[in-house]
Amino acid sequence: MRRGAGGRRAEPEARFIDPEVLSRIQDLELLARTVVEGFIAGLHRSPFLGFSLDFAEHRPYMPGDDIRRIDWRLYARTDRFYVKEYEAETNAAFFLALDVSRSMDFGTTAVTKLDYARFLAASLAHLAGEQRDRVGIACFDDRIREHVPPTARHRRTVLHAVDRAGPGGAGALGAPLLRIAESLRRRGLVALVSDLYEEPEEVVRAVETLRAGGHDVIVFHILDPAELAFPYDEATRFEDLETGEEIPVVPGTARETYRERMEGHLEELARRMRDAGVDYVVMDTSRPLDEALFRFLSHRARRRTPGGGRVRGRR
Amino acid sequence: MNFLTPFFLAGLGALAVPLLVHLSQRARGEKTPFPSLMFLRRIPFRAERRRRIRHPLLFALRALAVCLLVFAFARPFLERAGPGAEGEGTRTERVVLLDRSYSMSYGDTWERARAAAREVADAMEAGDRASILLFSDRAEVVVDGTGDPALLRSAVDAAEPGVGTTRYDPAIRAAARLLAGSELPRREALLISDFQRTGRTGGLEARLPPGVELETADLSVEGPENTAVTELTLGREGTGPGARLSAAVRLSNTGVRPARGVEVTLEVNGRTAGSRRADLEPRSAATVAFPGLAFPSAPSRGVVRLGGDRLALDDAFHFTLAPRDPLGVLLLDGTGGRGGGTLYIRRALSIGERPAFRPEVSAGVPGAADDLGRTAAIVLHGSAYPGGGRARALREWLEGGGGLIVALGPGNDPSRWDAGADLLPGAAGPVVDRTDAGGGALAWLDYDHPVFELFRAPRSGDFSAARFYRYRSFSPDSTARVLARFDDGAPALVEGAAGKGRVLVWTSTLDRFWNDLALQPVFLPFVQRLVRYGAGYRETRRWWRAGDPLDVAAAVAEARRLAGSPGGGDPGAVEGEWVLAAPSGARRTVGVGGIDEDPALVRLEETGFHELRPAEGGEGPYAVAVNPDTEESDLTTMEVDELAARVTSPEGEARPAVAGGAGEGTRRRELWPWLLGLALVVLAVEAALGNRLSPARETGGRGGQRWRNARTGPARGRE
Repeated sequence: MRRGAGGRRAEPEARFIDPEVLSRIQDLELLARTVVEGFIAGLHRSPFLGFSLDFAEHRPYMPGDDIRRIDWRLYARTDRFYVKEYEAETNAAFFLALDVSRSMDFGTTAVTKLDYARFLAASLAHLAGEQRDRVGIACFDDRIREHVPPTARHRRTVLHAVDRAGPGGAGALGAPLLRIAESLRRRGLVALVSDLYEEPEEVVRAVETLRAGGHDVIVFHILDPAELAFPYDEATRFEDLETGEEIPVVPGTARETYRERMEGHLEELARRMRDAGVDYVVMDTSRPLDEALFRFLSHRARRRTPGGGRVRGRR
Repeated sequence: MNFLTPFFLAGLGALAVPLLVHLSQRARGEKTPFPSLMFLRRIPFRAERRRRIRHPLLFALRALAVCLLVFAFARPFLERAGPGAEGEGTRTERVVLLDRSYSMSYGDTWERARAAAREVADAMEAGDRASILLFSDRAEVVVDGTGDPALLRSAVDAAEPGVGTTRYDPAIRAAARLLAGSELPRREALLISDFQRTGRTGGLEARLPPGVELETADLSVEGPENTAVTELTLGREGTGPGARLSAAVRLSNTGVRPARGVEVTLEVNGRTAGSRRADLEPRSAATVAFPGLAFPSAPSRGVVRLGGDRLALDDAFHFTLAPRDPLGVLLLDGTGGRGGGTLYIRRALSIGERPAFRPEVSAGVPGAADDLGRTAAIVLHGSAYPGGGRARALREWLEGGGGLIVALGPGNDPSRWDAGADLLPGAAGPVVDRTDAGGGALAWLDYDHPVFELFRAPRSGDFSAARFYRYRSFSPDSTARVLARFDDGAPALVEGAAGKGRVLVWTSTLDRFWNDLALQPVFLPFVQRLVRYGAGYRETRRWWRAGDPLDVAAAVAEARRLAGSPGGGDPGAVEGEWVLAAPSGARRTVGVGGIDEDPALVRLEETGFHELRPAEGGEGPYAVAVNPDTEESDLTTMEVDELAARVTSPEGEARPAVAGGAGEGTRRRELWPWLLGLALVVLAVEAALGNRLSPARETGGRGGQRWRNARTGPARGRE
């Protein structure tokens, strides 16, 4: 056991995906590679079986099947003809929808939510690229600020787009996600990285436009610890980062109510996302990125299970 | 309980400030950025929660500390009033110290001073009392503790600036006496002055009694301009009708700006004798010379005038002028008038202006005392005291005020004199020969005596260098005063008296025969001082300073001498009543009782020419010139606060019980030190309690840092 950079106990690999450590890495591509490689190294001790599993199952030989696909060793043991069936490499499209609205430019830890989202987006893009996925990205606030269509050659372009992503204006999910859904011609995996400051039904409605296009959607809900705990103590005027609206708040009085409403909001989102078949992950910016990557790979693996949108082929 | 500075109680209003801030719905200026207010907006904002004080004890402590500080600054005091003081409320005893030095006549300063003093009269309330104290170098109480404002106003209106210089010490001392005797609960002093720095001259030792408040009315002017005549030196060249007068006028500019083309005029007997123009740099002095003027043949009056400025009193300098004959000195050398032995004395006396000497060498004294009338001193050098009728004439002249200087050289042994030996203050003996030892030296001089006081200061004359090879031993009698001794203890110079005259015995020679003193630099001033003292010479005083005491008898005697009157120069001859008329016309009659009476002294209160004349008879008048003390011309100011701090007593002391009957009067005890101490204690408790009650520290996120109101974009690792 080693002590991580943040002073807490962590696995050796996990310290490479600690946000506080990542905030010191200037090169985003290096950052993504560090995260992904550290993460993959950690997988060897995990129950996850890996992402390069091509063999799927055997099935009885049927007339017309290529006799070169007969598994002769199995025939020797069973005296029956079976044909090997493999998972075809999908070259699936992976698309990042990165919220760069003004509210993302907030943080009480070493990184802001936007920084954390950028680290996450870069790591996901790198991980997807390693698997030969076609990677694209759209940065948006209330409209699309930057768009990179998903291709296999655009991984570096995507990283550049992530690198350039800075805080924009007021955010909205509906219109940008609709535009993204329209722009994606092939079905794929869409990762939405946002703080989701909208009503749950509106969020889900926006996400369902993606689902309607046949895409698998995973939502990373990025929140600062202060948004969850509301630890303020001084009575001041709170200013909405996106609208500039100000209201007087006595934190000692409002804290409990705020927390209740935030928890209710998260539960409502989780429930609605689950109902909509969307994978929903709440990411606290003080937590390492490995959970996000793990959820990504899990989700990707599920896509290959029956009914999970996998694409079969033979070879 | 009363308050010395009750207006500080207005500071209690400061208590409302934190309350208003707290109760108002206005949040602090600092804003807390937050990603979205969508949850906060739904929380009903309850203003009453804000209005509720979270830590009432803390708030109470803070409010108490503010209250204590405010009350401390208001300087509350408790009075334990005796039976006679009950119900006196805030009755006030005030003393107005009004500076009437002549610098207060600068521009409109005096009018402003009067206005400030009148304000005291206008502000008087029932039961109050006030005094008016005029001061310059003396303090004079013109109104003592009256409750009548009209009386105060009339006293202020009647007051005028004087000719004195500013001195704060006597004024504060007099005010302290007035206030110390007051039984009223409040006592105040108002000092109205232009606060010249010279006012501290002579020290500032007086203090106002404890509990007395001192107010000041600063009437100093910014960038004053003032030129003054500070000194006049008169010289005389030649004697008789052809004598010439030279005058050197010393001017000063005490202002902060240069004075260009200042006209300086010298008037003698009302006529302009000369006029010059002078340029004076700021804070500098210059001399203007008037050479070659005709010396008046009779006692005269002169004035030096400057072009006018805003302080006129020091722009005129008055003086008197009178022809004075040189001192006649008869040198008897026993050589038949050839004067070989008196060469050095004659040469030494032929140089000098103040006084000028007229040495004459003679073989013998005249046969009658009247013939010695123009002789002030006789020097017997190598010549014996004459005998016969000349001896009587010389004794008569000597006892009438003449001066006899006897040098006991060779051929002048008093034991062989036919007469006059009894006039000497002792008995002469044999000659002491010191040639074997290389000569003796003067070892002791009476520097307190007028003959030697000139040489008192270091490096102002070395008598020890002179070698004395012979001198005559001399045994002084009981009336003699030895003024100098040789290194063997033998007297060198002995003084005695003969009637009104003086006898000085020098036991060696005043040439090179028995010593080499005549070759030393000190010889010339020594001989001049010796003859001057022997002749009873006194400097003629040409002017006095305002405030000086005038010895009427001495002034009349000197004036008579200058006028050539019989018996002139003898104050004892002045008797009867004399009238001193001031320039303003004020007259004072002074009785002069003769030489055995105490001198009749009159303080000179005005500048200009005073006149002395007998109350009866047609003698005189004799002029007395009076000028202001030019120290007052320097209008440089002092720090008023510094003066106030020096003359006020430390606060917080119990006021001593005042006279007025046993158990009566008041005793004041100031409470502010206690309040201040209590405020400090309360603040300390508040600090401790505040630390304990400060918002709990919450840790969260990474590294356990304390939560604070967040800001956007903190410590971005990537830019």
